[in-house]
Amino acid sequence: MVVGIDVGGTNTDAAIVGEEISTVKLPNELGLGDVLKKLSGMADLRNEKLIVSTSLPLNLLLSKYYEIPTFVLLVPGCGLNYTSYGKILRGFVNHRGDVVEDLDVEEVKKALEEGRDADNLAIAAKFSVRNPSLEHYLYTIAKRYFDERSIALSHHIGEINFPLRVNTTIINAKIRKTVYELTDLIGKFAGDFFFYKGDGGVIPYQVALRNPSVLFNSSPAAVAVGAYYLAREKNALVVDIGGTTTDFVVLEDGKPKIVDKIEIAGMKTLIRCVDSVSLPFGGDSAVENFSLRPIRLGKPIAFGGEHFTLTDALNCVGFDIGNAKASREAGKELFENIADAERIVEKYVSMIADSVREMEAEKIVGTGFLAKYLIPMIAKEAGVGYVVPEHSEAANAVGVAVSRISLTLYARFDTETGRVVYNGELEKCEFAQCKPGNIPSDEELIDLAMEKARKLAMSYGASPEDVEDVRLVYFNSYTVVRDGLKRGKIADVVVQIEPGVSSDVVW
Amino acid sequence: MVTGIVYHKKYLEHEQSPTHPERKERLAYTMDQLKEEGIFDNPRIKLLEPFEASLDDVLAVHTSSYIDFLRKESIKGGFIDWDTIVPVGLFEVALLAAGGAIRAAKAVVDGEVDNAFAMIRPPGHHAKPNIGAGFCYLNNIAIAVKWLQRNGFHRILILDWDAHHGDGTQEIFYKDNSVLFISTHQMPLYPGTGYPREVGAGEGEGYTINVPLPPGTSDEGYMMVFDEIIEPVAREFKPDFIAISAGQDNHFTDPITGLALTARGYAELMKRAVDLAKDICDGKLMAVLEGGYSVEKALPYTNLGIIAAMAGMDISHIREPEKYLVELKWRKKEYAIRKIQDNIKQVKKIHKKYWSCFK
Repeated sequence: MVVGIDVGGTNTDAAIVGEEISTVKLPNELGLGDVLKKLSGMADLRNEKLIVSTSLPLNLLLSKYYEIPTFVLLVPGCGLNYTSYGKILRGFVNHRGDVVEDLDVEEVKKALEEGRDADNLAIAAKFSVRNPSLEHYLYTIAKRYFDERSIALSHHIGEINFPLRVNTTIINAKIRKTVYELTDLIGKFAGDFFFYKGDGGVIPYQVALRNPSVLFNSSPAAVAVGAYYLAREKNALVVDIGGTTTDFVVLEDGKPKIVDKIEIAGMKTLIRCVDSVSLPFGGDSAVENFSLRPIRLGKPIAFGGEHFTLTDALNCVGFDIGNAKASREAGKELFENIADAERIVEKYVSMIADSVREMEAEKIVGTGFLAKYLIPMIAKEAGVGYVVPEHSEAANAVGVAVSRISLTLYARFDTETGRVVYNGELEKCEFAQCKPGNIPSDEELIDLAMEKARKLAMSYGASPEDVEDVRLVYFNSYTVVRDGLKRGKIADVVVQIEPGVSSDVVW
Repeated sequence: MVTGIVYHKKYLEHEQSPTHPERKERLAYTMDQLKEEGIFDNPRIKLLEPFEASLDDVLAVHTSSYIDFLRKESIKGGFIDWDTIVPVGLFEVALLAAGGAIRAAKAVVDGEVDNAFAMIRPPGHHAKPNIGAGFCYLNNIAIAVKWLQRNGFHRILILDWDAHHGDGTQEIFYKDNSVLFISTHQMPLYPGTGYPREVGAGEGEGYTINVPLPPGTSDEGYMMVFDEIIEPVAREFKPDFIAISAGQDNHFTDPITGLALTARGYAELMKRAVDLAKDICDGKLMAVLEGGYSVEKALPYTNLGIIAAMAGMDISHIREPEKYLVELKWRKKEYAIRKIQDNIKQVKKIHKKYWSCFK
């Protein structure tokens, strides 16, 4: 049994997936603590596998990007000018991962003294993904000035690209404390648990704490995986009608379409997540002056709220959602005749249908609470086929629950120096005894990276079936030559256990 | 300002032997540095994909018998000299390198970019019409310059700052007064040519300028040569295009030369060339990678410095790490400056009958 939770814009959805699927929707106004308390009564959160998708608190936090000051310490060494990114310190790790210039400890302390009033601290050294030692050293000093939960290190991001790594580290620094607090809160109700990533993957919470930017946009990813699992449609456009927004995600060959290097607060990052498009209209969107507005003033009247919404308009045109009678009575006061309510619904339907046509979809899978009412109309208007699967109202939570543990491993082998760096963490190389003339083949190094990815995923709790397929994403190697002799080999290997539906769940 | 970078993964495939100094790490490490600097996310940079040079393009420089030889030897592997063997599959990569140089020229001519750096290998400036040499098979820059000549450019300045004399390029344009060839190079060093008395012949007399440099020349020495020779003669020649044979083997960490230039020195040199181009030929400038063998140390950030200078980025942080600077103390020779001054005087004396700026 797996429990999946998705904290959305308005509600928190949960799905308990075992032999059968059961779902529950709870309003966010309860707070995550109470939501978890309620769920504890329905499933044994301490002993069942729990996966949490919670991009919302981070998205909200990032909407206040400039209100949360970050102090940025950089060790860029020789290269371009990064003064505009943060405080520059002496020191340099070169492209081979050798420290060719040390930190100046006095300079570091002085800088930290100057920056200590900031809310959080981002630390980034160039080529730290080849050798994180300067970042580690800075971290040990910085802990005296900053709460360690508010310090983010760039090498945890794993990828080469200093300026984008700096931008991503700044985001991590801003959100890390919040993710820690969430982790603590969830920890009160659960044992070890997992976070859901924006690319549809699942990772242990400890891994997410090192690079929380991966949680960004997890809800649309969850919806897409859930839609695929429930509707069994490999290629379709998922239309998720939520309370405040309607989101679109393309499914290609059973996987959500992914984008790289997304921009946050106008800055390019190394965040890789589902490619979702969002329109600011959903079931809770308010109706004012005979038109639908892109704002939420509260719950629909049909659910005890005070403001007339799209949901209430649907009740006025003949559906029975919640307390339909209350909606209709409010409608009578608001509209002269039923045609006014019809126009509200039609306007929404045609707006969504326009988007469906623009995205050149042939088939749509509808999810979200209102999908079963609205998707048939949208599909008809857009001239496309549709499915609204069972449990579509909690497809997001189902998607979370059925996903498998996934990871991307950036491996850098340097057999001459005996160094291997896995996702920014330096380890002793298995080829430490490598001598000239005894250099591992490319295949051996690829196998080593794949095996490491398997072991890592299994140590996270992945089942052996789920780690069978390790995909080689990138490979590059060259021989190190000095004084006319082959001294070793340098190889960059990126392998991935791709996000997907876990083999633990029943199809 | 937008700078084009011509690069292709295939440039990593060429290998004479894994222990040869002209090996793929030269570009692989440079690409590492460029990727870590986020160069390809920078709006000032455009990655340009090369094409293979056509046979017509290549035959504008090389003899058909040499091209036939190269093509044939590339099938099974062959031999030109001990520095320059012909590995299997060489011909295609060499065509892609020559095409890369044309791609850079074309991108500038078409206005796709303001200037361009062909980050290609194998290098080219030792290759002569009828034979390759010194790690070079096809003379990439000469092939690109001939292409420019066929496309409306009639006064082209080739500045060859590789540590080795560009003997191949010199020979190709020796009698051509529409191409001014200026080479700075360490002397004595391979290939042993490049004396100031080599000035061109026939109509091309005076259009070849050789400035030999002593070991230990350093940044100051290079700036002196730029100010005293390169800039004045370039202004007098009034080129419509500047093509640079950019060899990065003058760096003080280079294992096979001794010129003691720094990465910043290189960037400054390129910045001056770019400023000069803006002044005299609407900024039309391309650089073609030649040598540079400090793969483990400075080559990656030296290439970065050159690209940064071309793209008009801030080069004030292009510097040397502390642990390398010890080496510079040994390489830089104070007395070299006197020798450079002598050489400059000599060059001016020889060339004053061709160039009024030296009178």
